[in-house]
Amino acid sequence: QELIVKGIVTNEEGETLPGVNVVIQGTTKGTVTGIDGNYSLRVPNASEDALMFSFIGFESKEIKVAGKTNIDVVLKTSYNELDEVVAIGYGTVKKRDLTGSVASADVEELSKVPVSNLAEALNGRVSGVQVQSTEGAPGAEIKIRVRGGGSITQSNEPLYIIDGFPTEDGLNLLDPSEIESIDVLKDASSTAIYGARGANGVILITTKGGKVGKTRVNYDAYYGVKQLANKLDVLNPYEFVLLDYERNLGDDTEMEAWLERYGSFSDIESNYLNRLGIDWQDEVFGNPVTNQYHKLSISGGTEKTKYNLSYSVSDDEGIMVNSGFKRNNANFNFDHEVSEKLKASASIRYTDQTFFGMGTSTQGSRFNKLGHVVQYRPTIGINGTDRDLVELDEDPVYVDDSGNVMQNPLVSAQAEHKSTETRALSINTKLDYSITKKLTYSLTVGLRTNDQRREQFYGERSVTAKRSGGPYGSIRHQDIQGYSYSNVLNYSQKFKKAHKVNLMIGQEEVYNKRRWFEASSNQFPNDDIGLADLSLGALAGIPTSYEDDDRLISFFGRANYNYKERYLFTATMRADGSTKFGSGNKYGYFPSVSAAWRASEEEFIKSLDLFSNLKVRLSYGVAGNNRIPNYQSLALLGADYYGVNNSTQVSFASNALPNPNLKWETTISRNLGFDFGFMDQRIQLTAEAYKTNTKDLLLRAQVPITSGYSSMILNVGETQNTGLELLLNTVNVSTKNFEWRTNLNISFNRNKIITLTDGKEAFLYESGWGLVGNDFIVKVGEPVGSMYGYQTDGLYQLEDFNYDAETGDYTLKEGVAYDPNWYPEPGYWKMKDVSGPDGEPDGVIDPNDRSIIGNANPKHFGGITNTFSYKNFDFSVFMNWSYGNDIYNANKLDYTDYSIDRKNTLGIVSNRWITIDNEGNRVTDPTLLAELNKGKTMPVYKGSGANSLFHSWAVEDGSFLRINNISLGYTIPKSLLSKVNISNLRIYTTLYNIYTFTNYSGYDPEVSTREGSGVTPGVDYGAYPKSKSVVFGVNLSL
Amino acid sequence: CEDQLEEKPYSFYAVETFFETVNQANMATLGVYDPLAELESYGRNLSMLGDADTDILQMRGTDLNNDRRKMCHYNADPTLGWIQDSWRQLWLGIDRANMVIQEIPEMDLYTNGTEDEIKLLQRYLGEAKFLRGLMYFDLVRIFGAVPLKTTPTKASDDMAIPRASYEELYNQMEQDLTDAAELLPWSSGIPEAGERTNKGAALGLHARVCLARGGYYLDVYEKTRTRVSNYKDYYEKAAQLTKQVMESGEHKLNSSYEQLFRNYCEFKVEPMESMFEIAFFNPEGNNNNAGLIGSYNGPATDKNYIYGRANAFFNTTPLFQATFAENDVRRDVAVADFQVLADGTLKPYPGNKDDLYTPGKWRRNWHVQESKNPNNTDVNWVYLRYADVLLMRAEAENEINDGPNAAAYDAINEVRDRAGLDDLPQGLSKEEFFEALKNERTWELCFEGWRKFDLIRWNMLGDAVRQAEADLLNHRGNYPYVAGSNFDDDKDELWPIPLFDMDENPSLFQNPGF
Repeated sequence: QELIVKGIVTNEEGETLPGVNVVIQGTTKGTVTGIDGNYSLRVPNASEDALMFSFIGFESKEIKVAGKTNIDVVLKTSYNELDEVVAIGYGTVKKRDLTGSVASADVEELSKVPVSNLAEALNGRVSGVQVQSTEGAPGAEIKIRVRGGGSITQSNEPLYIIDGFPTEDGLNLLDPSEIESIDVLKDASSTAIYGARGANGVILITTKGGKVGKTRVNYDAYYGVKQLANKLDVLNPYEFVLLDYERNLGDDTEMEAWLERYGSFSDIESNYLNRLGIDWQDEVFGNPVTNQYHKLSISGGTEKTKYNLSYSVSDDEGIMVNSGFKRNNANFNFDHEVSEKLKASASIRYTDQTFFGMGTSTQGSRFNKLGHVVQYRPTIGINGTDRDLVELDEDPVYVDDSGNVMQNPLVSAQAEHKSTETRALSINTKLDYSITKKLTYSLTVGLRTNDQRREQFYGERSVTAKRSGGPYGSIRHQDIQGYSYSNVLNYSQKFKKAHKVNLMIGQEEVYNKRRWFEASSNQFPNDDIGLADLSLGALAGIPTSYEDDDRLISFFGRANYNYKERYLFTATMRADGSTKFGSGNKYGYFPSVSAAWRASEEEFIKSLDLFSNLKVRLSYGVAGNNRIPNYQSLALLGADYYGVNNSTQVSFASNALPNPNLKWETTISRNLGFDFGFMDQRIQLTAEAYKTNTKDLLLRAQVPITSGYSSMILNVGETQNTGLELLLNTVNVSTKNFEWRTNLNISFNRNKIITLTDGKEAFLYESGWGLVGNDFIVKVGEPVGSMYGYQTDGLYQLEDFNYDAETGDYTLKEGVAYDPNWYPEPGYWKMKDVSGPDGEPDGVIDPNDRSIIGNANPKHFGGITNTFSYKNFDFSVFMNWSYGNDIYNANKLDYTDYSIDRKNTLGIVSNRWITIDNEGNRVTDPTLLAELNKGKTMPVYKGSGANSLFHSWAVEDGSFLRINNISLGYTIPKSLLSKVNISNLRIYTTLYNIYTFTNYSGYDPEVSTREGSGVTPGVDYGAYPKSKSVVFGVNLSL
Repeated sequence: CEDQLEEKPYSFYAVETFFETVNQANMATLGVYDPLAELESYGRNLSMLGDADTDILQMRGTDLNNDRRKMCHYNADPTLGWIQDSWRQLWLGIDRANMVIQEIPEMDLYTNGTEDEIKLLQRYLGEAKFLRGLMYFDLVRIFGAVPLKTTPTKASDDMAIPRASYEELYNQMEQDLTDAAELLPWSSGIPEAGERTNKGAALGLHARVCLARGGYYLDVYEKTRTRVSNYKDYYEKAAQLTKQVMESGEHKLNSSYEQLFRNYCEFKVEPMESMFEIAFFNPEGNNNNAGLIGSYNGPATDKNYIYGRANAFFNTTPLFQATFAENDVRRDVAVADFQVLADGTLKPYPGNKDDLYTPGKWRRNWHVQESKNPNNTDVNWVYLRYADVLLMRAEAENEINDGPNAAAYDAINEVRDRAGLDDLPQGLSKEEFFEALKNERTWELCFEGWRKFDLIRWNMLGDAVRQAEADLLNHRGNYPYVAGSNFDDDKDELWPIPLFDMDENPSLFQNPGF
C-alpha cells in the first residue's frame, strides 16, 4: 500500500529544521525538508517501511510509517564529537570534559591509505604531530614528533600505549586496519600521567573490539601496483663519454685505454649521441611491483560478551630488486561481563613480519648502493653492446682496480640478502571490579615477547664476497621479554548535582629484558645452503651475545573536579623510578594541573546564539624523558681480545664514558586551547598555543678524542618549543544525496636552544654520511637541526687568477681567498670567506668560514582532507605539506665528485666548466676558456669533489605539497545485495603518492637518512626512492 | 624498591669490582695493546705510512683522490678520516693505559699478594707504562706537541686540554719507559715475549725516544724545525740504554736476514732479535685485530694464489734497489722486482715498469697459511729489532764522541756482517761514519716504518723527497712520483690535528701550514 507521508521536523526548542535528510530506510529514496522544516514523501509500502531522519549535529531518528500519513519529528541535538570518548591514560573521558590537549586521528580516513605501516598513514593527519619517513625502503624507520621534541640528541619518539600497555615497538607491528582509535596526548598536563616517558607526547592506540549484534564476517582486500615515483637525472652516454675523455686527457696510459674503449674523439657524436645506454635506475628500481592485503574477521557479541577475531596478510613488494615486506597479523579481542561487579577483557595480538632487501643508504660513499646506481657507467663503449654491462657481474674496467667495491648494481641487489623477521606476541588482560558503585578497582597485566632474527648473506656473485674469499653471512637472534602490570583505584562522586569529583590512584611496573646472540661464517663453498648451515663456511666467526634489562616502577594519581559541567579541573601526579639513572637520581616526580571553562554552557553565551560549543582550556605540567641506553651512569669494562700467539686472548677495556650523576630530562609545558563550534557543530575549530621548555637535557655531547672517547651523555642546557596548532572541521555541503566535508590541520612549531653547558655556545655534530667533519651545529639561540657549513660562492673565475702563458700556471690574484689545503684553478668550487680566527675575513678558507646554512625544521606543516559522498559513491582527497624546511642533499655532494675516472654522475654536470674544445684538445688560453665557460654553474672535473666540504649549494628548499591519497569508492545498493545474503559491499580504488609539488631536486623531499644521533635531520644520502601506487580494493560483510 | 632499580651489567664488568685478581689485571693490560693492532694504527696507517712517501717507498698512484694518497703524497688536511682514526686509536690506548697504571698499584694483591702475584702485577704495570710511552711517542712524532693526560678520563674532567710542552711530553715518555724497564723482566722471563713487551724492548724504545728528543723536529709553537741545545745529552742517554741491552745477553741477531722475515710470514715469534712486535690475529680474517702487512706492502700477487692476493699499494724504487751492494743479502729480501702469479711463479717486471717494485719482506709467497681474507693478514708488525738497537748505539757513539769509537764500529759491523758485507774501514770521520750509518739504517730497516722519522730527526726529509723526485725523473721521464713537488717544509713533517678535536677543544691550535 502506497502512501504519501508529510510532516515537520523541529529541534528540541521547537524551531523548524530545513535541510534534514528524510530517507526510506534501506533505500536511497528520500527527500530533504524545506525552509519551514516541511517534507513530503511517497512511501511504497506504508505498513513495512520506516523513515530515517538525519541531520548534521543532531541524533538520527528512525520512525516506522505504520500507515500514518503525518509524521512530525523532533530531533535531539547531538554533540556527537563532544560525546566521543577519548583515552587519557588509565582511563577515558568524554571529549567535552577534556582539560588538556588531546588530538584524535580519523581512523576511517587512515584506513584508506594503502600502506602497511600505520605511522606512514598518520602523516599529515593530526595537528602538532609531524611524521617523517626516513626513506622509501620497506621497513624504513619513520619518525614521529609531537610538538617538535625537546631533546637534542636523545630520542624524541613519543610513548606508545597499545590497549593500555606501553610498547617499545612503536607502531611497527600493527595492522592499520585493526585500529579502533588513535589519541595523541600533546601537552604535559595530559602526558604527566605517564611521567618519565611522557615528555615527547603519548600515542594511545585501541584495537578493534567486538560490537553488540549478530555475528559479522568481514573480508577486506586490496591489490595494487607500485612504481618508482621519480628519477634522478644522470649524464647520458654521450655526456658521460665526453666527461670521461676530458678527465683522462693528459695521462697517456689512461688515454690509450680510453681510446681503445670508446673509439676516437672525432667519432663520439656518431657513436654516442643517439645511444640510449643503460638506465641503471630503470634496471634496479624500474619494474612495477605489487602490493596486496587480505583480512578476514569475525566479530559480534551480546551485551555481556563481545569479541573480535581477525587475521590479515600483507605482501608488499619493494621497487628495488629483491626487497619487500610481508606481514601476518592475528588479533583477538574479548570482553566479558562475569557479573554486575566484575568485568574481564583480553586482547591478544600475534605478528609475524619480515622485511628484506639490502636498501640503498649504506653509510660511506664507497659502499653506498644508490651511489653505485647513479655512478655505474651507462655505456660499454665500442667493444660490445651496452646490455653486456647488465649481463656482467662486474664492469671489466674495474676488475683490476683493487680498491673498487662498485659492481653491477642489479647483481649486487640480487646477490646480497638481508632480512629481518620479527615474531611478536602480546597478551593484555584486564579485570575491573566494582567494589561499590563509586569505587572501582582495575588490574591490568600485560606480557609480551618479541623474537627477531636478522640475516645477512653476501652471495658468491657479490663483489664483497669476491673480495673476502667467498660468500659470507651472519645470523643475529634477539629476544625481548617484557611484562607490565598496574593496579588502579577509581572513585567517582557527585554532590548536589553540581559537583562531580573523580579520583584515581595507581601503581605500575614495567620491565623489559633483551638478549641477543650473533654467529657468522665466512668462505662458504657456494650459495646453495648458505645460512641454513653455518658450519659450511670454512671460517667461523667468534659468536657474540649480550643481555640487559631495565625496569620502571611508578606511582600515580589523578583528580578531576567538574562544577556544573562548566568549570573543569584536573590535577595529576606521578613518581617514576628508573634503573637507567645514577644512584640517588633514580626517582623523578611529575605533577600537572589543568582547567577548562565550557563557556557555551553559560547562559550569556547561549543567548548569543552563535556557538554550539565554546571551551577554553589552560594547562601546566611536567613530564620526563628517560630514553637513554642502559648503563650510561656506570663505569664498565667490555670484552675484546688481543691476538697473542695466533690465538685470541680476552681483554677488557672501558668503551664508554660514564656519567654517574645522570638524571631525568624534564619538560615543562604550558598549553592554551580554544574549542569553537558553530552552526550546530557544522564548523568546528580548535586552536592551541603552547610553550614547552625542556631542562637538564640528556645530551650526547661530543668530547675531544684526546679523552679516549668521542661522546658522553650529560644533563645540560635547555630547549624551548613554542607553537600554534589549528584544526578545522567543516561540513561544507550536506544535502540528501551529496555531502562534502573538509578537515584541515596546520601546525607551527619553533624550536630554540636556550642554554647549553656553562660557557658553551655550541656543540658540533657529524652526520657521518661519508663526509668527515662536523656538518651540524647545536647552538644557543638556534634550533636543533641547524646545518653548518661553507657558503658557496660559485666557481673561481678566470679573473680571479694571474695567468703565466709560459708555464701555463694560474696563480690566484692577491686578495682572493682560498683553501690552503686545496689550491684552486679556474672553475673550482669557491667558498665565501666569512670569517677568520679573529672574527674577520682573513683571505683563507678554513673551518672558521663555516656558518649556519640550513634549517631542517619546517615553518609549518599540515594536511587537508576533503571527503565527498554522492549517493553510493564516496570520494576523498588528502594532501599534506611542509613549508620552509631545508634538505641537506648529500647525494649531490657525493655523486658529483666526477674527478674520478670511469664513474658517471648527476645530469646537472652537463653544465660544468669544461677544458676541452670541439676537437678534444685541452684549452688553456684564458680568453678561450672564458668563452667556453660562460654561465657554467658546475665546477671543472678536477675541482668537483675531493675537498669534501659541505657547502650551501647542497642545501635545498624542502617545501612540498603532496597529493597523498585519492580514493574513490562505491557501495553496492543494499537492495541488490540482500538477495545474495551480503550485508555490505564496497569497492574502491586509491591513488597513493600520485604527485608532489616541490622544487627539491632529489627523489623525494620527505627524507632524513642520518637520524642516528637525532641532531642531524634532513640529510638525503642514498635514500631509497619512494614509489607511487594505484590500488583496487573491496570491503565485504556477510 | 631501590634494590629493584639497581642496574645489572650482565655482559660487562664494573670497574669498581674489576681489578681484584691477577687475571683481571692481565685482561685489562691486554686491552691496552688492542688499539695498536687495528688497521687505523699499526695494521696500516702507523706502520706503512712511516716510510711513505720517502726516497725509498711511496704510495702507488699520483692522483690525490683518496685518504692514503693525500696523506702519503703530502696533501693531508684536517678532515681526512684516516688521520682522525689513527689519532683516535692512540688516545684510546692512552686512556686505557692510564686506567691500568692507576688501578694496578691500588690492588690489594699488589702489596699483599704472593711473590709470584706481585711479580706478575708489576710486569703488567710495566707493560702499560711501556705502551703509554710508545703511544705518546707516536703522537708527538706524528702530530707534534699534543695534550698530556696521565689519568683515566672521568665525566667531571675538563676535557679541553691544551697542548703540553715538548719537555713535559718527553719527560713523561722517558719516565714511563724508565719505570717500565725497572718493572719488566727480560724477554727470557716472559712466555709471550716478543708479542708482549719486555725489559729489552723498553730500553730500546727509550733509546729511540732519546734519539728523537735529541734530533730535529718541527716545533709547532715556533712553527719551524729546530733541535734542543743539549741534544748530545740524549745521544749520551741513548748510548747508555742500548749498551745495557747489548750487555744483557738477552738479544742477538738472527743469523739469517731472510729467515728473520720468513718468521714473520710464518707467524713465528722469535724474540731474540725481534724484541717487540705488534701482534695481529683474527680468526675470521675480519678487520678487528687485523693488519694489511704483506698485502698492501708486498709484491703484487694474483687473487687466486693459495696464500692470498696482494694489492701492492706501496712501491719502492729501482734506484733504491741499486744502492745495495751486489753481495748484500738484504737486497733481494727487501726489494721485490717481480709479481707473484696464481701458481706461485715470480714474474719479473720489465724495465719500463720498474716503478712497480715493492717491498719484499712480507711477500705472500713466504706465507704458509691459506689466507682468510684477501687483504687482511695475521703477520705481526716488526716494531723493534735488535739490529736497530745496534745501529742506534753506533749512531749515538759517533755523535757523542765526535767520530766513531770501537763500540760504534762493533755495533754497525755486527749488522753488516750478517748482511754479508765487509766491515767498515777504520778511521772514518764523524761525517763519513754518519753517512755510512744512514745508508746502513736504510738497507737494514727499510719499510719498517722509520725512514720518514729518521729523515726528520736528521733534518733531511724535504730535501730527500725533492732529490728523490729529481733522480727518479732523471731515471725515467714519466716516472710517477709527486712527493717532492708536494712537500712543504715546516708543514709536511707532521699530520694536521683532526678537525674533530679542533672543533671540540678550543684550547688547541692547528699545526703549522694547515
